[in-house]
This record gives sequence, structure tokens and C-alpha cells, in this order.
Amino acid sequence: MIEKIRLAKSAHAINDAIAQENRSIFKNAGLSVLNVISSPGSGKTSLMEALGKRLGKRLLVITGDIQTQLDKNRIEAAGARAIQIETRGSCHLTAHMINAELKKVSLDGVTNLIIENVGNLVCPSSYDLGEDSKLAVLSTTEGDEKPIKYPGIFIRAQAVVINKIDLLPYVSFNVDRAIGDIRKLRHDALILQTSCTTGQGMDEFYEYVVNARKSK
Amino acid sequence: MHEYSIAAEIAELVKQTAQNRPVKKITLAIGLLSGIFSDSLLMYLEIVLPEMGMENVVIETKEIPATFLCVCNTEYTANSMGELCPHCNGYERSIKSGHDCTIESIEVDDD
Repeated sequence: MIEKIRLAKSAHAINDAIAQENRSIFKNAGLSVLNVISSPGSGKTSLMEALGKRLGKRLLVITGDIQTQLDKNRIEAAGARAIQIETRGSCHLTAHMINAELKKVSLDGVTNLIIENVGNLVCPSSYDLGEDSKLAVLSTTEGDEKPIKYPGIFIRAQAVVINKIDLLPYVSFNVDRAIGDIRKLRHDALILQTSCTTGQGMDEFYEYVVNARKSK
Repeated sequence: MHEYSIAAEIAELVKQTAQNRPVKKITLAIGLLSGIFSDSLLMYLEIVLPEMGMENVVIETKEIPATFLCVCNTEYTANSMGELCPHCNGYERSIKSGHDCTIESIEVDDD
């Protein structure tokens, strides 16, 4: 006999359950957690280095890449703590991958945990890792059409950093268009403009990260 | 690539729910804003399900439109994120439906 079972469960139900477990670990440790998502090469790791210089060992970055420890080495050299996840082909981090690292690491002395996702504007936006909020990074060299072409992450990200803003004179990136499209996708997004090279907007970026912690 | 890992998650959840009973049908509701391409998801499910011991499963997919609630209190259905409120042409709105991919139900053989 055929039995019909009503599930009404998200396709991500297994990931989401582990994300909730991560969330309670973060809460118990009094941590604010950001999930940073962008295309490859937008400058995520450079932003993490800049934060590492200011926060030192109070900052822990879990960084994902297909392979290599390069990002971990850069972030540690800037003064922060770092864990590298090599996904060996997977295009995004999952709650399970983060959970496995949380079981191994001590969070003593850490005030800010940032998850630097695999460089990819599509898949990572669908996976809850247990973070408090998502930050999208968009750089001027990528073009101002990215928000409207890849809406998923810009709908979900509470904040957007437009990075490499110092290159505006050299690239055809219309800031007003990018901001207008980001607002169409999420009208209340916090939008920051930064340059890791000149330091423009970095104080605001630092304040945003630190206040994300205070506002918890 | 994205759909592959979603297919694997769905297959795992279905397997857990079926508890060794043969699975005959899976009904999925795919939201327009979920970022999931149903043809691609179906292709991967056809690979992943047999790998996990579930053969000849019928997969039914329903497309769930996007529904927004505008700050002007108009609720409207849209075919993309870019469609603004038909009443005030604004974009300050919240998403009411269409964000998720849900496994609505499965059918198992109880013999």
C-alpha cells in the first residue's frame, strides 16, 4: 500500500539543523558572527587583514577555499587567528563544515568570528552557517551589474561593502546604479564603500563589524 | 554544482523519512526566488537517488511564485526580483513566499 507522508521541510533542513547548533555555540561564547560572501577576487581576505590589524587575536576568521592555506597565512600574518577549510571542489561552506571546526577550536578570547566563504556569488547565499548576518562584498572591477544579475546574495545580505573604491577613476563602475539596484533588492541594506589600498571607508567598516557585536 | 548539493540534501532527508520503505514519489515546491534551477535539480536527483538505493522514483515539482508585501500594503505576485510594486512602483517590501525549496511530501510503499 502506498502511504503519503507530508514533510513540508526545507531542502536545507539537515544543514539548517546544524546551523542552529552552531548558532547556540556562538551565543554561548558571546560571539557575533558574520558570513562574508562575494565573487573570487573582490578583496574579502584584504578586508579580513585590515580587521586583523585592528582586532588582533580577538578576531577569528574561518576561511574557505577550494584548496591552499594562503588565506589563513595572510590573515595570521595580519595578527588575527585563522582556520582554513579546504573544500576540495565544493563551491560553498556548509554548516557541517563549520561545526566540525568549532568542535576542534577554543573560542576563548575571541570577540568576533567571521566566516569568509568560498569566492562565489551564487551557492554560498543558500547555506545558513549559523551566522548573525551576511555581508556581501562587491568590488568596482567586477562591474555595477552584479547585484541585479546575482540577486540571491543581495536579497539576503544585511550589509554590502563596495570594495576597491579607489579604482573608480579607472573602471566603468556606476556607484549610483549599483547602490540603486542593491536597494531594489533589499531596501534596508547598509552600504559601505571601502578601499584596502588607500584606507578609505575602513573606519566605517571596522565600526560596522564592532557594532554588530555590541548590538547583540 | 549548487543543485547537486541540494539534491544530495533532499535525498538524505527522504531516505531518513522513508526508513527503508521503497520511495515511489517525491513532491518538491521550488520557490521562484530560491535560486534553484529545477531541470538541473531533477538531473542531479536522478543520479543521487539511485546511488542511495532509491530507484524509479517519480519526482513532481511545483513552482511557487514570489509574493511580496509592499510598505504601501499591496501584496503582489512577481516573476522576478526586479518587479516593483504595481500600486506605488516602490521596492520597500518584504518577501512573503517564493524563497524556499521545500519537500512537500513523499510516497512510500508500505507493503
